[in-house]
Amino acid sequence: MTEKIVSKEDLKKILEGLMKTSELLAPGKEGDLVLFKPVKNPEEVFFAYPNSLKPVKEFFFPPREELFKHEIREGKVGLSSEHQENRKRVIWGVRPCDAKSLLMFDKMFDGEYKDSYYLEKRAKSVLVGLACNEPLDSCFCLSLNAGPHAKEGLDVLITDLGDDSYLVEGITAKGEELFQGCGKESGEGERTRKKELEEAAKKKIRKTCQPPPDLESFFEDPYWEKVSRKCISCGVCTYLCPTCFCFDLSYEGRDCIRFWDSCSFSPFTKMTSGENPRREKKTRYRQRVYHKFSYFKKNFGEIACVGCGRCLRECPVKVDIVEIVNQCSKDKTKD
Amino acid sequence: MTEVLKPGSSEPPENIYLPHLAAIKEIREETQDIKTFKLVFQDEELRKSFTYKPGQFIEFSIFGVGESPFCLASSPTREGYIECSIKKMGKVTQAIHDLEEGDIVGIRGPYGNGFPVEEMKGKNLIFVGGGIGLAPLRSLIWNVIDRRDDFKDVIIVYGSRSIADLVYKDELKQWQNTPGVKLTLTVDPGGEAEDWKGEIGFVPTILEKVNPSPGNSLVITCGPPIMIKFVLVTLNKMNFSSQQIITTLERKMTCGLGKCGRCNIGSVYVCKDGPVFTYAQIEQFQEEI
Amino acid sequence: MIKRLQEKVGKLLREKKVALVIGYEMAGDGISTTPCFIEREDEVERLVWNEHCVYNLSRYLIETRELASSPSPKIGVVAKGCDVKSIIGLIQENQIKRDEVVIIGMECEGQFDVEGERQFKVEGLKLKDKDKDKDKEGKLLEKCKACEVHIPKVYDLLIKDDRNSGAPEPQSPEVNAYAQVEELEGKSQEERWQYWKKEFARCIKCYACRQVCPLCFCPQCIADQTLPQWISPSPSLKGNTTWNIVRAFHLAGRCIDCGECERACPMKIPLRKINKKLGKEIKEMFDYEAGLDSEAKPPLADFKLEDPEEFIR
Ligand SMILES: Cc1cc2nc3c(=O)[nH]c(=O)nc-3n(C[C@H](O)[C@H](O)[C@H](O)COP(=O)(O)OP(=O)(O)OC[C@H]3O[C@@H](n4cnc5c(N)ncnc54)[C@H](O)[C@@H]3O)c2cc1C
Ligand code: SF4
Ligand code: SF4
Ligand code: SF4
Ligand code: FES
Repeated sequence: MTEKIVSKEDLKKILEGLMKTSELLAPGKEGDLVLFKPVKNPEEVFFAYPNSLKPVKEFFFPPREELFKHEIREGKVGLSSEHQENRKRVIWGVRPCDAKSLLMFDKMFDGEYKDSYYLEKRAKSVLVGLACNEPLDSCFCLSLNAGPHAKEGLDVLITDLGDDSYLVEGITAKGEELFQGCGKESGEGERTRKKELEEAAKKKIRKTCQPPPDLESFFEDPYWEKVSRKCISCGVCTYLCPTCFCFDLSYEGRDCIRFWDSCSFSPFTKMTSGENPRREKKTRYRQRVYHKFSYFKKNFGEIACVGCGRCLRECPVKVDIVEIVNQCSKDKTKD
Repeated sequence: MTEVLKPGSSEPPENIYLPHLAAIKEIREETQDIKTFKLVFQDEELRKSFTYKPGQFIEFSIFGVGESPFCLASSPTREGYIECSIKKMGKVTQAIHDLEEGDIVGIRGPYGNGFPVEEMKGKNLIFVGGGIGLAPLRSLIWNVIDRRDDFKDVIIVYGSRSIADLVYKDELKQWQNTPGVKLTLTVDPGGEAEDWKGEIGFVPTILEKVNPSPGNSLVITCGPPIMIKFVLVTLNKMNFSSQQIITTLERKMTCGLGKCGRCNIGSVYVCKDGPVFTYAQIEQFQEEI
Repeated sequence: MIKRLQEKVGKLLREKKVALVIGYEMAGDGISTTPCFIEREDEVERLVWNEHCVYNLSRYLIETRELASSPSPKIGVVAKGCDVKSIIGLIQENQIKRDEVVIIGMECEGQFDVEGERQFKVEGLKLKDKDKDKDKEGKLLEKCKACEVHIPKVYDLLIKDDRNSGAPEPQSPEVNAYAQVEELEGKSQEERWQYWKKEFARCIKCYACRQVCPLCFCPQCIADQTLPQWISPSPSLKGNTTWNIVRAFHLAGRCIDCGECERACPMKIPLRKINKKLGKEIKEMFDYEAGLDSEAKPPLADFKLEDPEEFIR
C-alpha cells in the first residue's frame, strides 16, 4: 500500500474537495466538547484532540433512527422505508480504537440477520484515521490488540509528523483514492519519524487491562456487589462506549424508531409481569462486564472493548472497568 | 377489503425490521383477558411460503403503538393462516385486545429455534401447561395430532387458576376424544365449580398423580415460572433426566433477532438461540432464568 | 482533616454506631476521588478529603438504608454543606429518618471542577501536568462560588478545616447565586428558546442527571412509564425538551442545588440553570428554599404539566 507525505495545506485542499463531493464528518469543538460534525469549514476541523466524546458509532447506529413509516389511508395500511442517501460519506479523524470497534459492530449487525440500515451506512463510508501521538491516561488500547497507530478497520491512516507534514498510509483502495494526486513520496527519514512517534505513543499508554481468561467461575462472587455499589445505573458508559450496541424500538406517531438503550437501566429487562432478571444493580453491572469480556468473546472470538477509556473518563462516579476486571484476575491468581 | 399501498419504491432489498401486513380474520375470546387472533397475510405468496416450527414466535406490531413477541399458537400443519393467543398485560396487548376483525397488523418472523419436532418422533410426549403457557404447546399438540402416526402416546396435564381461565375450551374436548391422547385438566383450589369434573390442585401435584413414566418419553412444559419450578422438582422425583425436559423461557424482547441485546442469559440470546431449551441446557446457565 | 476524619469514622465503626460509612477515596487516576463504602475499621485509611470531593453521597442513602434498619446500626455519610441540604430533603420527604444517619459534616472551602477538566480532555493535557493551585478561583465550581453553607447547617460530627483556626469565615457569598439565571431572564422569549433548543438537542437520554440526583428517587420515573407514555423514550428535541422540563418541574422547590445533574451530564447541558430558575421562582413566591429545614414541607408537593412557565417557552 502506498505511503506519502502531505502538508497541512494539502490536507485542507483535500478537505475542501471532499466537502463538495461527499458528506464530510470530522471532529470539531462544541463548547467544551469534542464531537464529530458535518464540516462547513476545513479550518474548524480539529486535529489535536485526544478522542471525541461520542464515538463514531453514532454515524452507523444513530442514537435515534427512523426505520420505516406507516400510513393508514381509507382503511389501507402502507409501509414505506426511505432509502438512505447514498452519497459517499467520509469520516475524517477517526481514532484507531473507534475504527476497531466498528469491526465488532459488523459482527453484530451482519450475520444471519443482516441489518440493512447499518450495512448501507458502512458500505458508503470511508474512514480516515488519525494516529494518536498523545494518548490519554485513561487509554488502554494496547492491551486489546489495538494501538495508537493501529490500522485495523481504517481505510487510510494519517500520522501528524509535526512541522505541518503528515504521513498518509493507504490501507484500502477507497482510502487511497481520497489522496490521489497529492503529496510526495515518503522518505526514509519520515518513515523513521513515524516509527519513533508510534513507539513513543505506545510508551505513554500505561494503563493495562488484564482480564482473566475465564470469568465464568467468578460469576457468583460477592465481588460484583462490592464493585458495583457506587455505580448509579446511568447510561453514560454504555452510550459512549464504541462497542455497546443495545437498542430499543418504538413507534412515535407514524414512525418506527430505533434508539439506543442500555443494560444499566432496570427497565431494560423488566417484563410486564414485573419480573426482572436483572433487578439488582450488581446484576446489571456484571452484565456489562461479562458481555464485554466473556459473552462477546464466546460468541465472536474477541473481547468487546477497544480500550478507548471513555467509560472511565465519563462515568459520573468514576467506576473503572479496567481496575475491576484486573482485580478479579488478581484475586483469582491468589487462590 | 383492505388493500396494501405500494411500499416506497426505494425500499432496501431486505429489511429485517419491516413487518409483513396481515389481516385479522377471526377473534375468539378464550378467557376474560385472553383472546386468540387468527391472522392471514395480505400477500398471497407469503401465505404459502410462511413456514414455521411449533415453539417459534413472531413480533406483532400495532402500527403507531408498539411491537410485542407472541408465540405461534397455531400448528404449521394447518396452512394459510397463523394464530396467536394474547393475554392483556400492558400497552401493546391492550391495543391488540381492542382490535376488530378486518384490522391490519404487522407481523415479523418467525423467530427462535422452535421445538425439536424431529427428535420427538417415536416418543411418548408429556405436555405440562399452565395458564397462557398452553399457547406454544397447542401448536405442537395439533402438530402431533395431525401427524399422529409419527408419535407414541400423548399425555396432557393442563391447569389454570379457575375454570374461567382455561384456554381453548372447545379444543380441549377434541384432544380428549383423540385416541392415544390422555388429557387431565385441573384448576387451583378454589377455582372450581360444582359441576367441575376435572382435578383440583396445582399442576405439579396433579402431574405427580398422573404419574407418567420416563421410559422413551419427553416432557414439554410451559407456564408461569413458579409452576415450572415445581414441575421440575416433581419430574426429578419421577426420575426424568434433564435431557428429557423441554421448556420455553421468557425474557423481555425487542428485536427477536439477537441484536438489541436485552434477552440474553449469559452468552445465549433467548430470542435467537431459544426460546426452547432442554432443562439440561438451562442447568448450564449461570444467570438466573 | 483527613486524619481526623479517619479517626472519627474508625471510632464510629469500632463502637458499632454505624454499619457503614459512605465517603470519598482516591480514584485510579491519582487526582480525582470516587465514592467508597467503608464497613470495617481497617478500611478507614481509604477515606480522603480534598477539593475534588464533588460527589453528593446522600444519593446512596436510600440504597443503603436497609442496612440501617433494626436493631440500630446507622449509616454514616460524609457530607459537605450542600450535601446536607439534600439529606434534609430526604428526611422531609420520608425517604430516610434523621436517626438512621450519622452526618459527618465537612467544612468545605469549595470544590474544584476536577473531572470536568474538560480542558485536558479537549487539549490532551495530562492530569499530572495540572498545576493545582494555579487559578484556583477559575476552577472553583460555580455553585461553590455562591455557597452559603461552608459549614453544614446540620451534622452529628463536624470535621473542621485545619487551616481555619478560630471562627469560620463569614458565610455570605460575594457572588450572586442567580447571576446566570438573571442573564437569561434578560433575554427575549425567542432567544431563550433558541438557547435551550441548542442545549437540549444534545441530550442523549442517558439519565445520568436523574440517576445521580439525590432527590430523584421515584420508584417509577415518569420517563419509564409506558401506560400512558408521557415522554417519548428516544432522544429527539421534542422528547429531550419534555424530559428536561418535566424533571425540572418535579424538582421545583425540592432541588437543593448540589449541581450533581449538571456535573454528571456527559453532554454538559446547563441543567443547574433550569433548576435554579425554578428555585428562584419558589423563593420569590413562597419565601422558601429547599434543604434548610427538615420539618418544613416543600411548597409544591406535586407539579402539574399544564402549569404556565414562561422561562422555558
Ligand atoms: C418468546 C415469547 C413468547 C411469548 N408468547 C406469548 C403468548 O403467546 N401470549 C401472550 O399473551 N404473551 C406472550 N409473551 C409475553 C408478551 O410478549 C408480553 O406479555 C407482552 O410483550 C407485553 O406487552 P405490553 O406492551 O402489553 O406490555 P408493556 O408492559 O406495556 O410492555 C412494553 C414492551 O416491552 C416488551 N415486553 C414486555 N414484556 C415482555 C415480555 N414478557 N416478553 C417480551 N417482551 C416484553 C414488549 O416490546 C412490549 O411491547 C411472550 C413473550 C416471549 C418473550
Ligand atoms: S459504571 Fe458509571 S457510567 Fe456506567 S452505569 Fe455505572 S455510574 Fe453510569
Ligand atoms: S468498555 Fe469502556 S474502554 Fe472499553 S471500549 Fe467501551 S467505553 Fe471504551
Ligand atoms: S444527563 Fe444530560 S444527556 Fe443524560 S439524560 Fe440528563 S440531560 Fe440528557
Ligand atoms: S430480543 Fe433483541 S436480542 Fe433478543
